[in-house]
Amino acid sequence: MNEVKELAAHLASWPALGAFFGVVVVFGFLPGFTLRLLVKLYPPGHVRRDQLPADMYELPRHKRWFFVAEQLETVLFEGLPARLRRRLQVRRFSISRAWSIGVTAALGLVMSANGLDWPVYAMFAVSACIVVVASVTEAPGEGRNSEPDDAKTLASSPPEMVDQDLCELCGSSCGPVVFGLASAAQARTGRDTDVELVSGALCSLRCARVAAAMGTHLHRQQPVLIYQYQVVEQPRVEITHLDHDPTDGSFDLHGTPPAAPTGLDEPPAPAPSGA
Amino acid sequence: MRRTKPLVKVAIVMMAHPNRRFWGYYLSREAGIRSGVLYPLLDRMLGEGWLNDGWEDPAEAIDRPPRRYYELTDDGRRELGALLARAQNETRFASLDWGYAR
Repeated sequence: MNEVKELAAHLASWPALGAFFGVVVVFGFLPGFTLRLLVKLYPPGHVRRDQLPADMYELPRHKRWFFVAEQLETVLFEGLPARLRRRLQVRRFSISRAWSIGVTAALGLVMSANGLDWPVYAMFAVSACIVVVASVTEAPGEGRNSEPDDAKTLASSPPEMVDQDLCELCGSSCGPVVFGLASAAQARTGRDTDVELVSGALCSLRCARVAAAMGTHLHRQQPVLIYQYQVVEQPRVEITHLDHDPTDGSFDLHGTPPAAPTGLDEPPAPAPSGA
Repeated sequence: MRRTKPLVKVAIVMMAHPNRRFWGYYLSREAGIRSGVLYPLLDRMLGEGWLNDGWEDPAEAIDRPPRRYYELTDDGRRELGALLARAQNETRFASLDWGYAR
């Protein structure tokens, strides 16, 4: 009986509990945590962010650390360049910023010609601050390059949802809720089906009504209704990434069910006479 | 695509079971390629249309996230078959373990 008590006391002791939780943390928690931190180096939406952790969980626990260490190389040589490419696509140095840096650097050089070294370092520091501050405070969309120059980045990106940057009708920026004309039969078959917006994404109910009134070809073949879609929050995609079918100008909101088909679920306005 | 050792190794593994689905880690282990080389290679093969990819059904993935799989397309089987046929005659690939692919 004493042996059992001693064993229980030993198991319940702090060193034993500490060792147990240490093993749990080191082999249970930390590999996944570390890998998920590492894959953050990939740009948002990159397929590898999900793929690498999923592959890791297939391994026995004692091999996971080796897998994580191996992925460090993958992340550094694939993820970091992908992020930089994405970054360069989205934000480019503006001419004004380049001028600021150039003038600052020139001032530094002039001052260093007088035998002073510290102004050079100071000017470099100021230049770096300008770049950092300008990058952080840059307005969304400023400097956006709408024509990605690297097809590899696109190929390695997951099939991101096609959405709503601009209204198909008026061209203004859409919010998190978009409207669209969809086949009545298709949109009502189920909330989880892919629904094709025959009109593209529209920014408002008004634009949807105008599109229905003007675009008689949109509902010539089949009755369509105006639907409201809550667009899932996720990183914006470049406009040229959109899954835009040039043949009929339609969009697919993959897996995005209508958020609120009722209430706005009304037939399109009749086409004006002579339209 | 350039015929490199990693590509030939992956082709050997895939062509041994041309109709099955492959996971990234499985390919890495069986072909003996570091994942830093494998994943970009798989991306290039996807770009060539030799592979299809997809995500495992979440119902099949118990207690873990669904994995991404790769499977050969008809083009991929044809191209990898031709690639292996050519590679078999090259001395630089002679040291590879050809397994069932020979």
